[in-house]
Amino acid sequence: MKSISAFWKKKKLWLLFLISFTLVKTIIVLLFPYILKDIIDGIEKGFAEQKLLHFVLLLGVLGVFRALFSTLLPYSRGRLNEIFLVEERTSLFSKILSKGHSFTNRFPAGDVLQRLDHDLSELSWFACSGIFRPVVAVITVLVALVFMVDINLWLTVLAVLPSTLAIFSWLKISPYEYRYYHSWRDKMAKVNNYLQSSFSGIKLVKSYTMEKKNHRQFKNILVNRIEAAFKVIKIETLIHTLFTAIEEIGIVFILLFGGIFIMRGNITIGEFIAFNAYIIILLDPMITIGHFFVSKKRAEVQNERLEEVKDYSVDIEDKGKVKNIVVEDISMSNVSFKYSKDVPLILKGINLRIPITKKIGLAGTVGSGKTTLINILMRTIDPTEGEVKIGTFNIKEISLEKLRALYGYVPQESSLFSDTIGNNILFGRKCSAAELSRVIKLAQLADFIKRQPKGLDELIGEKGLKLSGGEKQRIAIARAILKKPKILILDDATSNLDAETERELVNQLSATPDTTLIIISHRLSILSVCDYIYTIDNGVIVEQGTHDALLKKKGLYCRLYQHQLIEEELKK
Amino acid sequence: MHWHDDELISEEETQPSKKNWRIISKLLPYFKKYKIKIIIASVLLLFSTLLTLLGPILIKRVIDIEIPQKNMQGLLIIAFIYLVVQLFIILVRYFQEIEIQKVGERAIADLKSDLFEQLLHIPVAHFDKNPVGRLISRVDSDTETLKFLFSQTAVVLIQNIALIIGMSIVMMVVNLRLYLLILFMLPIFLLIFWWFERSVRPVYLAVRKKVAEINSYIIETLHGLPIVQIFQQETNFLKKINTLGKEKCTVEIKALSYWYRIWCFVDLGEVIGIILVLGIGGMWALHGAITIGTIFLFISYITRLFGPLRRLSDQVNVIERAFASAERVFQVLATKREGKEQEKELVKSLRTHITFKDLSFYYENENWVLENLNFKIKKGERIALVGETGGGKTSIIALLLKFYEPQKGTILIDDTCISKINRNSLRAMIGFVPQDVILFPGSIMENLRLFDEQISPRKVIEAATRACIHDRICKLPKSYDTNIIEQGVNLSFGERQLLSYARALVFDPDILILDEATSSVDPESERLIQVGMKELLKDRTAIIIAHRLTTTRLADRVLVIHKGQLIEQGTHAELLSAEGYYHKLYKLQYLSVVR
Repeated sequence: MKSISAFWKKKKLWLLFLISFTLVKTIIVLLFPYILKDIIDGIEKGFAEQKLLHFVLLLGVLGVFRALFSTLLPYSRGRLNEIFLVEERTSLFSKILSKGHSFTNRFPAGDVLQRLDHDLSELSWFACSGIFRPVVAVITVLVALVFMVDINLWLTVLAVLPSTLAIFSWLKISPYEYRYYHSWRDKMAKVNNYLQSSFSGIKLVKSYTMEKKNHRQFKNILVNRIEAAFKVIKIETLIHTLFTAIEEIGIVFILLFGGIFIMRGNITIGEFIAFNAYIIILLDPMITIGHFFVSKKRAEVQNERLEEVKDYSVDIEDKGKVKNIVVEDISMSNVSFKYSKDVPLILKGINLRIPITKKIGLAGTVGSGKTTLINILMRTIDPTEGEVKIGTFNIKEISLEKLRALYGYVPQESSLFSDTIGNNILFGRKCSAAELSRVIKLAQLADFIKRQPKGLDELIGEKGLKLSGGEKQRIAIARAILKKPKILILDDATSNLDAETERELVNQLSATPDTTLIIISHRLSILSVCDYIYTIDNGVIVEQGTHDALLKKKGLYCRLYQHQLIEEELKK
Repeated sequence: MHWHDDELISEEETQPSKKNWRIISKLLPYFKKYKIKIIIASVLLLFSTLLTLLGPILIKRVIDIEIPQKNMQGLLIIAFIYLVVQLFIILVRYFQEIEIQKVGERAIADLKSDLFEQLLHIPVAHFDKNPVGRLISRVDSDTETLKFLFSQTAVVLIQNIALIIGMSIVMMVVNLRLYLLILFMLPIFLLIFWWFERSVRPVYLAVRKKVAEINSYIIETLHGLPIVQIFQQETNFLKKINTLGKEKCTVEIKALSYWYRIWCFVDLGEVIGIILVLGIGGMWALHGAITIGTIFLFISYITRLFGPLRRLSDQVNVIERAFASAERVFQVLATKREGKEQEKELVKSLRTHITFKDLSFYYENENWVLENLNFKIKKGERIALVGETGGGKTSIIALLLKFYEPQKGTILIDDTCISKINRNSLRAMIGFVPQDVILFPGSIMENLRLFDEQISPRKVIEAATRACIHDRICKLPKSYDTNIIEQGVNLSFGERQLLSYARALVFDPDILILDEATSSVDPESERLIQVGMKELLKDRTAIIIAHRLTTTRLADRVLVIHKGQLIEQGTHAELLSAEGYYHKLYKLQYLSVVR
């Protein structure tokens, strides 16, 4: 588990602190019975009251330290768990931020969250507390043995003898524990799957009046799960019982042989009592050591699940070295694309040219490949074949940072974030108030913002204002213009605006000099502002030219245009 | 407190305090069934807990009597008694622990099952408002936290109370003075626990809130990932998650610090107890007032008591979480189910016609989706509903299936108003094929007959053959026994549709409602679907929400629904020649289909 070892390499001092303090703490804890022994023997022999008080005082001081240490240590470990969690979450998140579409396809958001939330927090527990528990346990066992041997070797041997049985039985049982645990998790997943399909298919369930059957089926699945759970319960209880039994046998040995030893004068009563205390102290560490193997295996699975996310391909390699680029005409030559091996091509041999500062339109039916084409331009995906050039540079040679800085993008579904309106527009950028209000005006947002009680500071999203589709789109447009991009892409980004607002907005945007505008629109009338239009069908450019020329051609573009006119009519 | 539907399954946590007892009283019935087992287990628990008190007493006797008298035989007897008692305790514990946990598991499964059943019966509207994930976590994880309340917290509580009482009695009998000496610690401890419980609760609540915040931030970022990348906001997003993480870390550490403070107190308490016993008790022992065995007894009782106390402080978070979960669970269970008393009429089959009379309906805020709709469907007639998305087609069939109730007007089956018809008998008469194909975990056979074992496999195969999917199923690894979801079988979109048709054919309903899928399909699937659909519609009263022209052609009559109203009706040919809305729709379709 690389992440954990890397973490400890950084925290060497902490490691040293934890180990040495664990040692100190263990010694203090184990000194307790030792001093107890002296006190008891003192009382037995009838020593001076003064001396008794001294011993008790010593015990008190040790007790305070014991309380402090046995609080401070787990507290520091807990702290480190949390610190590991934060660092690891951030590092995973940074990896995720660089992933491309194949990642999002492979891992649904809920799955990623499950890993980042549940798996990571369990791994974090293991990273420090989980690893340290057996360390503490081993230290405790060793130090305790030293103290016990110091008192009486033979009694130690007799007391510890049953424990060897524990280790032996552990080796036998723990594989089962792990297996049962796994099958239990499997059954839990089944319950979850069943709930998933029943709830998402609730209308089907109701219409076929299968509520009763569904319920019965669910009960069956629950029964399976219960049975798996019972196995886990039984084996865990068995382990616990076994260990307690072994401890008790140890105590019986001490009682019997200790008693005999006292009668023979080999040991004192104090030593006898101390032994009793040691054997009780030893129980917990032994269970912990045993459990470590199970928790380690679990942590390995969690680690794997996290590494799967971490190491998943990023799709887009940022190897370009060109940093200072002059924006020139963009060209695509022979570009083809498909998402994976066994699916059909989405783009087939696209050749096109986007002259700089011109306004370019893309038309085509839903699913024809327009958005894919845009994504290739921005390098959120790389073409399967062919190349994209800006001037003479293949875009792969340009550093991703510089390349993406060129683009302002307004997507079909304007993804905004749960933040204030202002922060959604600024989106991490800084700008003057004048510039901001210019952008707001340009995006036709001024009135909308004025209407909000808190203006730009109004929260939107999950816990804030619910926006209409048009409002979302305009905020997304403002966000894109504020970036002052060389190339502005509107991917069907005005579909929720009324025709008039849309026209006005597009007119203003196309009036911006020095900006190359690429518009995808369902309303083809809007494309009339474009200098040049490509019509794409089924991944191929089938027509190109100006709006008027294309209309005259009476081809696909013309048909799409009519289609849209009828649609408008139908809406009325 | 009055609540709205939206709050039904709310995520927000309230601070449970007075409600706790009410929640426990609601939880109790689930354990009633296992009353005898619980009583036996509790008795065993009490018994074994009290028996553990015997150990130190026996050792005390060895120290005080057997050893000074050098009575080897007595020592042997006591060691033997000790062994027998302990083994007995261990055995009893083993069974008791397993039984308690089993009961917990079973009772919670009952609760899960009840919750599931309840959710199957609440109105569909709740499913519109609550994401599936949320409903799942009600049934799944919320109930799990409740289990701990029973099998851990309750056990630790009983054990501790028994220990405290039992030890008190023994100590009082052995030496009252020494007992009174350490008794004064009890109120101090209660006070400390009370303070702890009060102060840690808001901290844990804060932790859970932060976790929720981080999680929703992660989800949001994942959904907006391309935007983050194109706008080069990676660093800012990273900073934000780091900040959120650190904030959570801070509250979590605060919670930890409370936790360990209480540990520290517990630990100190133990030390103080031991010191008192050793110091003052030791003094008395020096004067011969008490024996060393007594000192041993007191010390070992004190250490035995503090272990479980520590575990009890562990439980605070579990308890808090459990009550929050329980509240949500019982909210769901208290929701009104669909179905009304006046629904008494049973229907078996459609005799003459279905009538939609003055039907008006809205989902919320009086945004009327259907307005004053009037039409009749004759038995055996095949109706296609066409029109724009959001025009109200889906609402019409949802009302017919009684998923919702209209605000005005009614639907009549023959001459009976559906509000008076038993909803199950109504639904049993109707076969519904939804847009998305829903598959349940289980074999294809079970999926086709929907787990109804009274339907013979022969009938299922016959239906599959009619729906043209039999051959495909036979090619699957285990034929009809293939588990589609678990075995990850890739079925094409068209094939999945056909499975859905086959399912409807198995049930051979009197009335068929088909919500055609909107997605465009490849020509081969299209052909398959057409063949399957023809078979499905044969000799049946059918209402189809049609998206394809080929489908409308199969209908006897087409109803054009626009903005909640019926604006045109007639056969495909009639409507085309009328050159109205349908004609335009047709042109639209034609323009998009022809390349």
